[in-house]
Amino acid sequence: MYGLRLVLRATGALTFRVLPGSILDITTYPFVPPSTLSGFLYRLWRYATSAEKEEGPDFLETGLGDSPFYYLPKPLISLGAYSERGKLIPHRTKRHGNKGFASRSRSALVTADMEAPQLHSWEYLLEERFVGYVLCQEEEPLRILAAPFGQEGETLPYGGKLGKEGYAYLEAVSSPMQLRLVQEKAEPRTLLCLNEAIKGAAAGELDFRVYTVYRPVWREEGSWEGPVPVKGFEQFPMALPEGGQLETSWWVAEDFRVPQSLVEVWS
Amino acid sequence: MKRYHWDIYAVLEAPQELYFGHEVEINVNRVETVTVEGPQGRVIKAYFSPTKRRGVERRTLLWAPHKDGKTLGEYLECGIPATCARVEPEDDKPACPICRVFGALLPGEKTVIGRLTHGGGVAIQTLEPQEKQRAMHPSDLVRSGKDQENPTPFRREYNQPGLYYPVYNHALSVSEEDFAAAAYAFLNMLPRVGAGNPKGARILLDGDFGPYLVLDRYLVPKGARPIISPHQTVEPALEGFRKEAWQVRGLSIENGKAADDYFTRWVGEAALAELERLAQVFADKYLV
Repeated sequence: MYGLRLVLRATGALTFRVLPGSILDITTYPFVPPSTLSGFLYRLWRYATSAEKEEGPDFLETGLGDSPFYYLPKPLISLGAYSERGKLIPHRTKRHGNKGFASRSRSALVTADMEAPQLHSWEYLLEERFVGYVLCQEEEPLRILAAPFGQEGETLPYGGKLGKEGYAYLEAVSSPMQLRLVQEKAEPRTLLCLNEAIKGAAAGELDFRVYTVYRPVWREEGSWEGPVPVKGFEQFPMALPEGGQLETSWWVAEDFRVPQSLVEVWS
Repeated sequence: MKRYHWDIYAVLEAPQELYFGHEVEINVNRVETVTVEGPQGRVIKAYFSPTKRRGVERRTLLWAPHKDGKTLGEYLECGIPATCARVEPEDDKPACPICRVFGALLPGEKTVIGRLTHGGGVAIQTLEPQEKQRAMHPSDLVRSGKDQENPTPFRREYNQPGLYYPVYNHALSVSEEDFAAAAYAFLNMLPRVGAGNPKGARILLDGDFGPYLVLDRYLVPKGARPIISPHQTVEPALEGFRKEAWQVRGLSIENGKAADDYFTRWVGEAALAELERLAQVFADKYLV
């Protein structure tokens, strides 16, 4: 097994909308979900590999109806990105929204029937850095992913939209690292499978919260070109550690530690 | 026209107090603040939310004066929340330069992904908001009798004058013509920010460095991104911005500009001049 370690730097507040959710209460995951990281990296890869095009870099349009899915090809396993500072507390505030989208009254200079705004609660993460992990059984796909982001051993800070609101860029991308499988007790920094988290909590050594996350349901493997053959996304619960230790099997390298069971779930 | 990625990095200074609404508590209008970890532990900082700045920028375009005497929004039949989503010309109407870059939604029909994202906004200093007593006064010159109107007092918090706000605009894969709308919006947003009165911010100016403003146009990002950490305080933050503004891989900056086939950076006065030139491209095409 091989792995890439990435450092993402946000340029402002980020929202990763928790689903299922409420229209009036927009809450955020306190991490970059694995599916979000995968789509983000694929778009950056398209920017980086289309720089020579006469018309300029690709911009991948999505809309309603039969929207295509843009995601890393199946052999690449995105596990999400996480703050290294421990538990994050989102900034929670109020925002004015609209009840309907049919009128232009909110932007009219003069109007007799201004539509009343609707008050939303909205959460934002003001976290600067997230460390992300992408794994693969083979080294080559990771090299293909990382190659256009590097020049003379340094990371080119390609950036793009990340999550519902914000923007982030790549601050550092490692070379593909060969991972070792070890069984030991350590502090988890990524999502965990629920059964492992419960075992850790039962041993009195781990705190965690449960989030519903989404993973792709594949029709076939997909390639680097165009949208991926994904039928849709299925939801399932995972645990986010909030301190403590866990005894399990890990894939490890320098500054790299992810639970083996997590990799299996996202493979 | 060829598409590029574009970034604007700036430090704004509020020459007077500003109100960015958060909520009302027992008759006090509160401003939005954020809690961040500073070098001395947790601090509360004033916040100029990027989403509010985005809204002011979009309205700046919708309310831009079209030569027919209408606002540009009226001319294009575009507004908020009913965007026109006309990204290509239709019938006798031109494509909407606002929806093309900010995005649009026709529920159930069409989604146009916005290509412009806003960031930053956490003030550099740790100056907390202050609550002030204000009153709305009747406009009568002479008041008399028992039905006379009295001043209505209210209390409101304000972000303090002199705060510095780092702000960033990122445009993904747009042509110069499309980005011209974003440049016009950015420059014309400045005197209009803040709810109620007073309004307005300006680009921070330093005698040696000039305006704290950087503009990048690129296919390959070769410049250091002058992003100020929300956790930093004044001097290291501004020094970091100045240093990173001048840092471009393999290129040197002359007369405020560094350029090769893949990357162009304008710094300070040169960045302001280029944004003004782009704003004029927009005005020439859509307003005059």
